[in-house]
Amino acid sequence: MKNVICFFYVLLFIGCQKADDVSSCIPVPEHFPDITYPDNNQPTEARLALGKQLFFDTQLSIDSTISCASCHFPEFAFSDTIPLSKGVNGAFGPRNAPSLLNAAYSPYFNKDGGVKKLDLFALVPIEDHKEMGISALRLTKRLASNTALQDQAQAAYGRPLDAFVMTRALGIFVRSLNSGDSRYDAYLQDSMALSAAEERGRVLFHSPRTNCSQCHEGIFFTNHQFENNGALEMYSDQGRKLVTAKETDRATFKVPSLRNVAITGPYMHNGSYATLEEIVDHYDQGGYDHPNKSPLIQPMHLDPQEKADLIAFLHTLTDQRYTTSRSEQ
Amino acid sequence: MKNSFYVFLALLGFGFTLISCSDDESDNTVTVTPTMDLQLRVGSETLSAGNIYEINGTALQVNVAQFYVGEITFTGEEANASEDFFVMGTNLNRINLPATEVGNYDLSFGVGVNAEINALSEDDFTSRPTGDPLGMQEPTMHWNWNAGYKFLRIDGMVDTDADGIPDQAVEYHLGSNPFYAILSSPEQISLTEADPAITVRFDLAALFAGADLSTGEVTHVGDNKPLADLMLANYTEAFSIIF
Repeated sequence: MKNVICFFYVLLFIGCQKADDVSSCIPVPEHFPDITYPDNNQPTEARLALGKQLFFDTQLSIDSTISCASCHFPEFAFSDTIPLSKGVNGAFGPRNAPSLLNAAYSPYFNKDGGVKKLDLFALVPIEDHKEMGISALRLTKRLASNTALQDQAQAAYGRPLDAFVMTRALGIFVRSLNSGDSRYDAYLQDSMALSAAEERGRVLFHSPRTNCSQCHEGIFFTNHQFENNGALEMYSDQGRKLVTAKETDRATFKVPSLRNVAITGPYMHNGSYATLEEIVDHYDQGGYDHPNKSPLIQPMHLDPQEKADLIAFLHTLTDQRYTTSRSEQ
Repeated sequence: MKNSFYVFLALLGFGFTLISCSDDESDNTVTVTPTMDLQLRVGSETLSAGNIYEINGTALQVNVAQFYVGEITFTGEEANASEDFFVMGTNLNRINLPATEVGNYDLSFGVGVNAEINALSEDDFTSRPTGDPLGMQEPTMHWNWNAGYKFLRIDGMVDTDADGIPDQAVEYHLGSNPFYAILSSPEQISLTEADPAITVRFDLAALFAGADLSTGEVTHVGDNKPLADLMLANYTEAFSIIF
């Protein structure tokens, strides 16, 4: 099975064999649900190629220094390695850059869930003055004279490279970044056994003693809800309250997927936890008090072996395809 | 048979009469193409982008002041509603409205966009053509971090250290469905051939009545709901029809 997935992955990066064929453009692991595409943005080879081209293009920032890949490194599961990513003009982004893997399955985007369409998600970093800092309208004018990109846009969408084309093509590329080829996936499909420590960690992860899987549930290790996990004593970021204006949502953030968590640090909404060890210690101690803290976050009283077992299990969630740079891919 | 013929002629004549009356009525109908003109004010002063004004004792430099206006409805014997939305403000102060018969009307209009448009279904601001007020704007009138449009956008600088010089960038952005407001004229407006214009006054000072701008606080609704609620409550004073 793993070979089959790898085969599809290779196809992805050398280009789809047949235009307009969804399965050949964006393969989905057998144990994953199908990806839903909007009617106006069905995947094709040309759209995927354009999206990939744009993702690595620094022209998408106001001073042409930063691309999407500047903060979403392919070799770190399309996440960043520092707490807050550096944007244009020396500014730092407001939150830790998340992994983009399996974003196709998320019902909303941003850590506060403010964006409801994946096809509009790219506008957040492009237009944020602390990230890429350019309005989509201005970007459209800038790229109007880029013949190669314009030709790609016409081939992909039958129209010039405008905000619609940019956001849709990037949306197709991000949907192509599915991750379901970890050691844990092999274990799920009975093609590989976990080590003793990993298995102990798996059992502990799913036990009522830790409650980890209450929020990090299912095939994607997230319930797609918003929680406060007591990560900080004081929050400057209002979290989901920014979207809903409800006090009960203050300092709550989207429960992230734990897939590839071993290579997507630093952690939490602001990247304030550097290592998995710090994360496990945090949950073991029960976190800081907060009016909106999830009642599931309670002291666990884990011993050192149990902590090590949990971390060993978390390492099984790494998809090795996303640990190499773009050129190696 | 002969009687039938006379009856036919009589009916034909009556029919002509009806048609003739109908034509006479339509000939009397006069339609005009109204305009909505916007007066931007800060109290008694004219509001211009880049200028500094004193509001509630605090100096505010206004760089952007614009909002959506739409669903403009003239209600007389029948309602004549426009489904269009426009961006009005420091960059655009006159819009043309659909042809309307002269007469006296109750007038209502929305500030913001309605829930159907704000839902950003498959067609959203990125898929609309250049020049469409609901398409991409510069300055932007959509929220990228949140779903939907900015219904009202005021950007500028405020004086936070009481030296009279604005020193801190501020944004007051209202949006989301509960902030879509339908405003109605308190009395009927009269559309005439000689004067088909409607003048709406927007007073920034009235919008911020009761707000302490010197704190430098901003609002994008969710981050400062009290200030957003105050501004919304002030709409009825901030927007007025000039008769």
